[in-house]
Order: sequence, then structure tokens, then C-alpha cells
Amino acid sequence: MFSTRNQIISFIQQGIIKPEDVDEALSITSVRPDAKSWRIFIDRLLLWFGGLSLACAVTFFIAYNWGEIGRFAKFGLVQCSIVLAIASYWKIGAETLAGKIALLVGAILVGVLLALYGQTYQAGADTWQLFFTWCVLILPWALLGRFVAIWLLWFVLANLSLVLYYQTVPSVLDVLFRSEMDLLWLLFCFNGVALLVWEYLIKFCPWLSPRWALRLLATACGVSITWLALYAIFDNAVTSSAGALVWLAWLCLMYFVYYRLRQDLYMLAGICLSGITVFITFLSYHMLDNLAGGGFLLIALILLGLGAAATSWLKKVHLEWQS
Amino acid sequence: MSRSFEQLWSTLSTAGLVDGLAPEPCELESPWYVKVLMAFFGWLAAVFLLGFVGIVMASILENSFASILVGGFMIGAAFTLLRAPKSAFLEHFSLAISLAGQILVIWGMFEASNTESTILWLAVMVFQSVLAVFMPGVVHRVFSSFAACIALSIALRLVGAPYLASGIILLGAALLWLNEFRHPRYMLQMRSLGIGLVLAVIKIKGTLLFSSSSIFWLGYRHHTELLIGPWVGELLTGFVFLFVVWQLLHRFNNQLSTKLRVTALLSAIIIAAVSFESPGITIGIVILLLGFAGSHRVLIGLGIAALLFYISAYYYLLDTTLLMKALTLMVLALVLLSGRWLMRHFLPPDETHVEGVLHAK
Repeated sequence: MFSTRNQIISFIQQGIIKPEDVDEALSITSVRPDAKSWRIFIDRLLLWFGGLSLACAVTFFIAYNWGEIGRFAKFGLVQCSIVLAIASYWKIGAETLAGKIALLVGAILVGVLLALYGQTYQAGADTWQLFFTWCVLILPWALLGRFVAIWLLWFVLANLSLVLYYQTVPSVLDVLFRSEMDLLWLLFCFNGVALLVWEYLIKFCPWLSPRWALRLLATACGVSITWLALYAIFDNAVTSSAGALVWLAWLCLMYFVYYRLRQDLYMLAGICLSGITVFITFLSYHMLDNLAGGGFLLIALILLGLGAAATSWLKKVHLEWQS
Repeated sequence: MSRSFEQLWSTLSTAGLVDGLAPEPCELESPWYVKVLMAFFGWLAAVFLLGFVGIVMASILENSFASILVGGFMIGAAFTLLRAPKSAFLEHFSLAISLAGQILVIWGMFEASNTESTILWLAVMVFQSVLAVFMPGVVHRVFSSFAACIALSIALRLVGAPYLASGIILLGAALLWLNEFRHPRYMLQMRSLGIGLVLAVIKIKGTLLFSSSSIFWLGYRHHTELLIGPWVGELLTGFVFLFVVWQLLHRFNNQLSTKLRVTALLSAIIIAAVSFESPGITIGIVILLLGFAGSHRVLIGLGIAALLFYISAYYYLLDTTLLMKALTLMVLALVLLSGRWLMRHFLPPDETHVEGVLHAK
């Protein structure tokens, strides 16, 4: 990506821009923001940070479980806060950032309400049910809000529900896989499908386009499948080798999608990291016992070679995409 | 030559800041995640190299002098390789042997002294600072400046002043980033050191938050009496925040009215005072301000991550009750949101009005 900042730095270092002109060059190219940009930045900082602090304040207050306040007052406080947040969303406007942040605060407070319900009535529900119900209840708002931050919250809750569900309920995938790997399979499948659907929907919903959200999903997906591949190295069971095979297929798919179709260097860097990590683990597992000290040196050199090749390739691709 | 580059050259040329034909665009800088990848592989290779040294040349580790000598030799070799013409393999290799060499030197220093004293950690800080300044390579400088800060924080912990570390390092980071463009010859070095310091301050403050109720610091089991309480550290961080705001306002000296500057400073004082009870929040804000002031996206990302981390970590802080925390955050939220309302009311986003207010002396 062309960076005005980096280009200006290069001009300054080469002496193309004289030292006495640096301040002016930075200002007219907006590397140094003007008063208007600062105003917008401070406005957003206050809004985001204020909204987040408000949601955290209510959460902490309910978590304190103050005995001096009755349960109806607590329910009233949380419910009024939710109504206020939704009313703000409606009043300020669905398309404004302030409106969307109000909806996000409302979505966070739904979880606080559910936690308060569990705390007050001791319903006996498992923790995963709290997160799952929270996830289901805020789904319409996530669909309505068209705001990436709410969807990120939704995915975090969904992942948490899966992790807690796995810890509580006997695995449903025992027939197919070893139970220790079920959670990783669940997370990989869920985040992988989410990533594919998100990528597909971008052309219909431009608000889904921020790459950071997709990269977070891809990271969650990549970490799960890389663990499965590593597990396959240490475990000799036939069922574990499925992890290695799917991992290989995932690497190829990611390469095809993000090199040929979408052009995302972060994803390619992720593939390199995953590939080299698994390969080095494989070598270490099989070589260190036999070669002792020499094995360490050999693996270090192979690691350096692969690392250098990966970074050179990434730099080359980066340059290729820019030109 | 891309259109963006041509536009940039044209803007600078029209303003009379450059003349002649446009040069070739600069070499593209690698994105942050490619640098992280390089750092990760360099670090991992260093671990394997140390494994090799530990097994094949175990006698080196047993002799402090030999350890320092071999470590120094490895660092010297890395320095020579890093100065050689660019090659990805050599860059990775020199990073790995330098990191392994540093660990050998530090190991030797500890073996020779037989004790863990403040002086020793200060010596480690000086050693890492020298490397951060003189060793070529962005990733190496980031590593060394980070390590120097960690050594400083341990030294301060040993004298009973752990809470000073984050304020001092944040001040260093602020000075580097605010003066980033003042010294063209040292810009690259200043940026690398700046990133190292910012990463260190986030890590050190985070560790302190989770160990503030105990005597453990970085897993370091030293029972040292606290000479300086946590509030001094928060105060120092608050002052750094005000210093940064003051410096940024200074950039608009000729454009902003005195009234507006005083209001901005007062607002900063109020935010620093309100967030006094919730540690780390001012650090996140300072990093965000520094990042935005220089259009540095990685720094902005680090600032946002730090803010989210500290506000979540606040929940687990054992020094105060959840009720007090809720109250603190509620006051903070009210201050921030009412501040925004006041700003929108008295300084509307409309450009002409902004200019009008800005120029009103």
C-alpha cells in the first residue's frame, strides 16, 4: 500500500525536502493532521472510550452484587440502560457512528442482564448457555446494526459458547474424532465457515469490508488448524492425521484465495507462519533425539533459511501488487 | 510511478518545497506483520542456536568469562553481517546469532557476579541500550530497546520503585515520537527505538497491573519494600499525558486561540485526574495521540489494543472493590461523553466554523 508518510520520510532522509521545510511538508500532505482532523479524531475517541467506559461501569456494578440494592432496582438499572441505549440508537440515527456505538453498548448490556438473572435466581444453567443465549438475543441487533464491532462481539461470544459447551457437555463428535481435538475442530469449522461467508458477503455489504475483522477471524481459524496439525505430529493415531490433511488443504485454499482472488498479504504471512511452524516442529520431533547438538544447529539454519525465504517472498508479492 | 506518488510530488512542488522532476518512489516498507514474522523466526532460531551451544559447548556456559567472550564475538559477527549489503538470510542469521550472543553475555554477567543486584540490571540496561543505538536493523533495535526497558523496570523494582518504570519509559517514547522528524539522519533509529519503548511500556504496565497486589514482579521473587507508591507512577504518567497534549497544542501555536488551548489543557487534566484510579488508561491515550499525531497506523493500533487491555484488566485489579471501579468508570464515561457533547456544541464539525473559532484570538 502506498504510504504518504513513508514517502515523505524517504524525501526527508534523501534531503529532497530541506530540514527547514519539513514542518510545512508534513502539514500540507496531512502526515501531521490539521485542526479539523484532530477534531474528528478527538470526537471519535471520546465517543468510543466514553461508550466503552459506560458499558464497563454497569457491568462492574452488577458484578459487585451490592446487597444494599434490591433485585428489582438492579434489574431496573440494567433494563433502563438497555432501553436508553436502544432509544439513543433510534434517536441519533442508525447510520451515525454514535448510533452504532449506542447499539453496541446495548448489546453488551444484554449480557449483563442475563448474568444478573443467573446471579439472582440461580437458574442452574451452565455458563455456556449464558453466552449462547446472549449470542442469540443480540443476533437481530447485529443484523440490523450493520456494524463490524457488534459482529466481532458476536463472534467472540459464539467462540466462548463453543469452548464452554465443549468443557461441559460430552462431545458430539466423538464418533469421528478423538475427544481432545473436538474443540479445535469445532473452532476451526465455525470460524472457517464464518470467514468464507464474510468474504462472500463483502460485495453485497460494503460495511463488512474492514480487513482487520476478517484477519481476526482468519487468525482464529488458522490457530485451530495449526494446533491440529501439530497434534498430528505428536500423536500417531490415524484419526489425528486428518488434522494434517485438512491443514494442508487449508494452506492451499488460503493461498489460492488470498494470492489469486483477494490479495491480502497478512493472510499470506499467516500461511508462512503456520507452514514453517508445523515443518520445524516435525523436524524437531524427529531429528533432535538422533542428532543431539548438531540437530539444534541444523534446525536453526533451516529455520533461518525458511524464514528468509518467506519474508523475501512476502516482500516480492507486496512489491508486485503495488506496481 | 503510481498516481498517489505523482499527486504527492505535485502537492509538494506546488508549495515550492521540492523542485525538478520526481525521483523514483522509495522502496516499499514491509508491513508490520512481516517484521513480526521476521522477529519471531529470528527469536526461535536464537533458541535453537543456544540449544546447540548448550549441548556442544557446555563448558562455555560454565565459565562466565568464556560465555561473555563467545557472546561478544557473536554480537560482533552479527554487527558485521548487518552492515553488509541486504540479504534476507543474512539479516535473519545475524538477528539470531546476536540474540543468542546477548543471552550468553547476560548469562556470563550473572554467573560472574553470583548475585542479582540493581547495578547488574542497570548494566544489562546500558548493554541493551548500546545495542539499540548502534546495531543496524529495525527488528534488532526494537528487540534491544524493549530489553533495555525491561532491565530498567527490574532494576527499579529492586530499589522499591517499580511504578516509576512505565512513566519514565512513556516519557522516552513520547520524546522520540514527538521529535521523529527533527533529525533526518536518525529518523529510522528513532522510530525503531520508539516502537520498542511503546511495546515495553504496554508490557510493563500490564505485568504491574496483574501483580500489583503481590510482591511478584515479572516472576521475580524479591521481597523489596516499596519506596514509591503506585500513585506516584500514575501521577508521572498523567504528567507525560499533559506534556504530550501541551506539545501537540504547541504545533498549532499560531492557529489556536488562547481560550481553546487552555480548554484543551484543562480537559486533559480532568481526564488524567478521573482516570487516575484506573491504571494504564492514560498510557493507552498517550500512545493513541502519538500515533495519530504522526499518522502512524501501527502506533494507533497499539494504543487501541492497550486501552482495551487495560480497561479489561481493571476488572481483575484486587486493590479496590468492583463498586469503586464501577463508580470510577461511570465518572470517566460521563466526563468523556459530556466533553464530546460540549465540543460538538461549542466547536461544530463544520469546517468554516472551526476555522473561525481556531483563528479567534
